[in-house]
Amino acid sequence: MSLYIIAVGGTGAKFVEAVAHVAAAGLLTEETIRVLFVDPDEANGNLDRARKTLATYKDCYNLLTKDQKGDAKECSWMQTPIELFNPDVWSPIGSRNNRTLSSLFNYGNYQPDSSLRNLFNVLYTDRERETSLDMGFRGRPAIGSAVMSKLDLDQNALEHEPWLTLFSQIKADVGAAGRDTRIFLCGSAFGGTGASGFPTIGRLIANQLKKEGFRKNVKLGGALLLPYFEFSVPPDFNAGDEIYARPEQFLLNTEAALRYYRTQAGGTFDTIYLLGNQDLSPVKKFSLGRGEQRNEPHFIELYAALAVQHFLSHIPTQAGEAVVISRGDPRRITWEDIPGSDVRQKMANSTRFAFAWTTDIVNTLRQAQQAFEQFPTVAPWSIEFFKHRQGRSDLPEFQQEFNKISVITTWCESYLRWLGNLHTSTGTSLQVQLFNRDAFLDGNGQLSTNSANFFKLVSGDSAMANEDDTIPRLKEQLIKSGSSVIKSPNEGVVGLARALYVLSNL
Amino acid sequence: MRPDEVTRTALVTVIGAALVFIVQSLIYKYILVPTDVVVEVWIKERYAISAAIVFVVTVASQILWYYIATRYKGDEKEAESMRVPWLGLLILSLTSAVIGVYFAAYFSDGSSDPLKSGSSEAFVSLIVFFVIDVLILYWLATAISTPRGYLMYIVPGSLFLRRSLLRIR
Repeated sequence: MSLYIIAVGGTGAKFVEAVAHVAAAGLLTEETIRVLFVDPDEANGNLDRARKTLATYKDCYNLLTKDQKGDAKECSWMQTPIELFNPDVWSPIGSRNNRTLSSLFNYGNYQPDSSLRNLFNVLYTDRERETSLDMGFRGRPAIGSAVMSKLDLDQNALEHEPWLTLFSQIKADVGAAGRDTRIFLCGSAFGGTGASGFPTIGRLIANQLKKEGFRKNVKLGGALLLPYFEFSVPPDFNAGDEIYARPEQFLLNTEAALRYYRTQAGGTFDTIYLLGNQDLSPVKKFSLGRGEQRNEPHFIELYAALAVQHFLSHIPTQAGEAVVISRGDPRRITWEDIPGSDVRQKMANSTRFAFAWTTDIVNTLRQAQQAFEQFPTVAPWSIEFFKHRQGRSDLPEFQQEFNKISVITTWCESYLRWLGNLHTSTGTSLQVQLFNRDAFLDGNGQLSTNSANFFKLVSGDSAMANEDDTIPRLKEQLIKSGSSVIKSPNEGVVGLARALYVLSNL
Repeated sequence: MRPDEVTRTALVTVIGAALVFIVQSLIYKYILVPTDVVVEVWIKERYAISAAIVFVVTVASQILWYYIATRYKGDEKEAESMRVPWLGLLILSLTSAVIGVYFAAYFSDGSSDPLKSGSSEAFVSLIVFFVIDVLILYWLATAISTPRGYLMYIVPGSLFLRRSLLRIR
């Protein structure tokens, strides 16, 4: 199965971050996921973080699968190749800087007092017309819709890169390979880029697929995120001539967007997931856009990523089928509220591994670097994975493997930070009780070094809180079973990490 | 302990027992015959008791070490320090050897029966034999049979014996 993800706007970028972490836990597909970002603000902080997350994921994935890809049934970690298109970001306003609504629509060429000019003046204020779109559509769907409508009218809008590659790849998947091919879009219904881009790009893709003659062979789905955060504009904020997103308009924007989708976007998507939260989470820092627009991960994005899991496995049985999910208690989110039978087990597995690796294994391996020949005396598991004069000579040299440790560590830290932030994203009115955040992140958001918290990581099941469930016991199992815990690749740092991952499963 | 570990330690203990109670007795009877005692009586009245002391204490030390290793709840950081109890049990076993040597060579029960006296002539050989016995029954047994875990290579030479010589884990 081939999956293409089109991430629209900042929310789309945050969704991709969640997809990368959920994919790492083995919850999506073993086939390649290809990702394209759609954002006029290429310097957007959310986009930057999503790119970094994907880069970290790819480094780790490439390391783990460099020589051989392990059996997914045995170890579900990092089974999904994730590729970015080139260029990875497509901007609906083109590549030139300092584009404005006026320049895009050649407003300056309209005759004075022409009906077109007057209409433009009615729809957009001077500031909206002249504000630079380099920082996106400023949370204004009206601006975004104008830009996107222009695309809609352009018959050749998708006939350049990276769309050409995307469609030729889809053609190859559907045609010669006969693969089940799916496209999934994600964006917000209340911002600028997402609200305007989601339906338009969805329609453009659907039209292109029709034109190419394989619309019926491709499932088109999407997650539309309803308002789930808000922010306060600081009273001393001096916007000057700038325009910016106004949270008080989010609900209004959403209402209008949903009405539009209902009447205008019908038939474009095979499946749509609408996700929202009645308690809007406070965004810590207000920003206009660019690098400062870096909102913390939110649990809604986890749901959006899990919607991909549902989309991949679910075939709608009837038109207009509604899939409903809600949480049991308005004040908390527990594992009972998470869809998918294997989500808890696989995410717990990833979390326990990442925690064990960062709080214990890395430090132990660093100590081993000083005198590896003596190390197996106290850490007998090490001789199972690395070459030693008393052990197997066909294993990799420890010193030559050392730089691989940091690749895995970087992924573990990225995952744990993302997971921790999901738990603090909701403010005080709603508690996310999936993992015990305090067990792996301190109050300042720094990763915990207290490996004794291992047994406390997963929330919601007192039976799991077993004090014998410790990292030393995990390593003891590693000593007892050695590299035979897993089949190949089971040597060196990769083998050690994979074996530990398997043993970290609850 | 796993079956293979139990098998190995049982094998070493049986070999050690054979050495202590049969082979060494025969050596004293036919090869290193002490001339200052009536050898059959000495073996029965002195050597057998000394050998039993060494054997029981050493095997008890061995079992105690296995118990400690099985119950060990630490990790790499504390593993090194577990050499101390292992050495303590080795010293206990060697102490039993010293007691055994003293009993077989010099100990007098106060009777004037020369048939039941110790053999000072066997002093050196007793030291050599009992130290070998301790090494086999305690060091070798624990080196190749300490339960798999953090302490499996704590015993000096165990890494070489298990991985290089015997090719076992």
